[in-house]
Amino acid sequence: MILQVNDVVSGYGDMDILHGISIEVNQGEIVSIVGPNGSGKSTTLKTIFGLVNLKQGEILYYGDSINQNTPDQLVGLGLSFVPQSDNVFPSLTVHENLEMGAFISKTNKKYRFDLIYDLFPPLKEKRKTQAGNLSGGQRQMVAFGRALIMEPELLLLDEPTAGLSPLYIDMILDKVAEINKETGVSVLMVEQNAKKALKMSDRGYVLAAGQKKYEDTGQALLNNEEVAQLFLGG
Amino acid sequence: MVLLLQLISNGIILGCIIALGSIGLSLLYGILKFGNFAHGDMMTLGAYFAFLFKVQLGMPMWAAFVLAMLLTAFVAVIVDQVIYKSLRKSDSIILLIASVGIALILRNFIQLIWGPQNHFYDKGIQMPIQLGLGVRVKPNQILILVVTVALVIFVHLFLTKTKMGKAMRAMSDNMDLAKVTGINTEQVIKWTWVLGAVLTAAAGILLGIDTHLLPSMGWNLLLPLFAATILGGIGSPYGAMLGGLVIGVSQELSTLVIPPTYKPGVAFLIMLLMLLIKPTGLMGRSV
Amino acid sequence: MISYLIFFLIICGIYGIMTLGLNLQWGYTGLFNIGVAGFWAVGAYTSAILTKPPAPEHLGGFNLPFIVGLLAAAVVSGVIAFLIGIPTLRLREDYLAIATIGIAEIIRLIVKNEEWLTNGVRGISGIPKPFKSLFGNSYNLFYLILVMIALGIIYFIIQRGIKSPWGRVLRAIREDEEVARAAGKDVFRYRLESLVLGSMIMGVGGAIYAHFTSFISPEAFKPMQGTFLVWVMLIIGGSGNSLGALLGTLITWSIWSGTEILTSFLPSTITTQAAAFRVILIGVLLEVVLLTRPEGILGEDPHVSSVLKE
Repeated sequence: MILQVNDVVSGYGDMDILHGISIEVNQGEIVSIVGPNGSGKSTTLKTIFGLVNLKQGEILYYGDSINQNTPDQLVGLGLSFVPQSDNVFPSLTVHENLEMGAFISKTNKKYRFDLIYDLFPPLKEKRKTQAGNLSGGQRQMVAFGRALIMEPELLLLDEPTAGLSPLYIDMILDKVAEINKETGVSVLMVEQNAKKALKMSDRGYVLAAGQKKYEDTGQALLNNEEVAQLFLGG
Repeated sequence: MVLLLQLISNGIILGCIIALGSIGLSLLYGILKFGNFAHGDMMTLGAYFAFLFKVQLGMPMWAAFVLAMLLTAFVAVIVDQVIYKSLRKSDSIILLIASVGIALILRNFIQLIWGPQNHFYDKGIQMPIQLGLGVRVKPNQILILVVTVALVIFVHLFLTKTKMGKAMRAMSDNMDLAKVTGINTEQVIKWTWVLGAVLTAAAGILLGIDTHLLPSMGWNLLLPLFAATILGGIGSPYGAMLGGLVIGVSQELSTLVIPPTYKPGVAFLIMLLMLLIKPTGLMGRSV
Repeated sequence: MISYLIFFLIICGIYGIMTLGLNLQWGYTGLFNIGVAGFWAVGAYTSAILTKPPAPEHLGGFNLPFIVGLLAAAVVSGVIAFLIGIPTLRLREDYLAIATIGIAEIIRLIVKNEEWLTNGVRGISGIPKPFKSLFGNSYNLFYLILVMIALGIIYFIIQRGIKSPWGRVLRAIREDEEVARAAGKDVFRYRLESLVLGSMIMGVGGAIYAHFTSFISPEAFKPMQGTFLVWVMLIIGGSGNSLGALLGTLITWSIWSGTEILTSFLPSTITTQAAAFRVILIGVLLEVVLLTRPEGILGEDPHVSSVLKE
């Protein structure tokens, strides 16, 4: 178990979004969090990454508490986060965006960049283009590349296919599966395209109104009639 | 015609000084999200530090220049760590008020130490050089142009070739994403202060070379500095460079139609127009 | 001693008027006005010009009574505030701040340069003191009472205004502009009204000052210093709180005057240095307050402080 979220309550100001969420991610797994809008899926990721105020509960990474860690500290520990929107630096080039992902690295090893360009070949020819001038799908690749360049242990993805054309949706999800297989990075993914996400996941969680409603393997959740009826639209 | 060219020439020199001051102001505004009202007085500080090193301690000008820039950078970082850092999460207005306080402290500190009278780096008077087409420049003014160009090139290289410079641009784009990416934002902020202070100190020294030193010299340029920053677009150092030149030349050209004492009003008017028509400036994105 | 105290309280009272005006604009409406000294100057010069007997050096000779001068000061300040507000009030708050600096600067330049109007840097002297002949030696005491009455009236007006429906909308706007707008309130109009009213109050303060000192010049207003002192007074006492504004005025003015007494014992060769030192002291005081208790001594309306703490 590399990530353990125990009974976490969190939210903004006086308002609680998560009312006691418990989740775990094991080494090498792809875990999806699905559920209707406003169920707290994104908030869960943001709480783990130190972007939302944790009020109660505990988050353990390899057994150590990361409740108090700031986002840049977490990057140093091997976690990585791709936000849903505004996830690239628009005025920086593709290559510079990747360089920012490698900011904490003391040496600027070329192999890291080659790794990313191998994963996402279209980026290589666009590497001098400003990220703001790319298409939505290309930008998402940059966002992924930035998050993967330091070879993280755990990758948190917030709705990676949001706003993408159907072609890119499949491509991105295929990439996630490919990255997981090739590099062994564990993935915790929030997705609106629940069916597609659960299909490729080892396990899944269904959230509603800030609480965990269902937890099972991806396949089992897909086959679960109640879940299908209530939560799986897409 | 000659007058026109002369005014433009003067305007370019003034514009260089304003541009150097505005680059730092623009970067800081873009990253820290507040307008540093003490920026003009940091310019003055730089000028007086150079005075200390050159006139009072007898060092050569180039050494005094460099030392003054570094010392001003040091002061800027200290002020940030002591005052602004604790206020990072506050409303930008609170930071603005705090910077007004710092401005007054700096200016009066300078007056306390060096007195309210004019000071000069050099007692001599320079003979103007004929540039052709009837335009005249003092050798010092050519120096100002050269130094400005050198510093601008330095800034460009810094922002495009160094990790810290790229991180500055990244933070200016999206602060939250920068944190998520693992950028050490506090470290980048310190470096932004260093860069901004170095440039504004240089501007102050050049201004002192061109004219003379007065405790209020930087404060008097604050409005043009902000005008250049807003004209160019907050957060865009290249916009600030352009803005500085436009403001400088406009101010000088305005003397063709209005009394010279109202020159600062020109900067203000340009800024106001920009704010009303296109607040993001000529080259900026929305802040 | 007593005469010094009276003098102290008069100036303190005048600053109190300025601070109340600023509190209306900043404390209750969230408008960052760095042009305080500008309105002060406008009020002072308007009243001076209108009440003086003919003088060749500047516009004048209207010989109007004091009360007309006061009212005119208020009206002219209000009109200028109105003209300024139209283009600038839609701007973001920090842009508004920069704009008000520009305006204060332009006012200062006009006062300094339009000699036909203001006698430029030489200033206007011989401004009539109202009812001077009636009170002779105890004139200052009379003036103190005058100032206190003015202060009281203004305080009363502001408090009534704040508690009225108009005031409630103002505070709603400061707390959350979007919500207020969604509720159908014309945010711009309310802000403009607050700006104008606050500036009128400042203009009155300037006029009262002019008639007391009998002489005004661009230097007398030391724009940044005057504006800065008023801001410090407001922040120390507690913005969003009229009583706090007055308390802050008293405290700050005491420190400012107190240090002036202390430094007056120093040799005159370092008077300007001493003055500089006192400004540094006030500056440091401001920073300390901002770092430790930004809501000021008397705290604030909970509504207002939630905006500050964000």
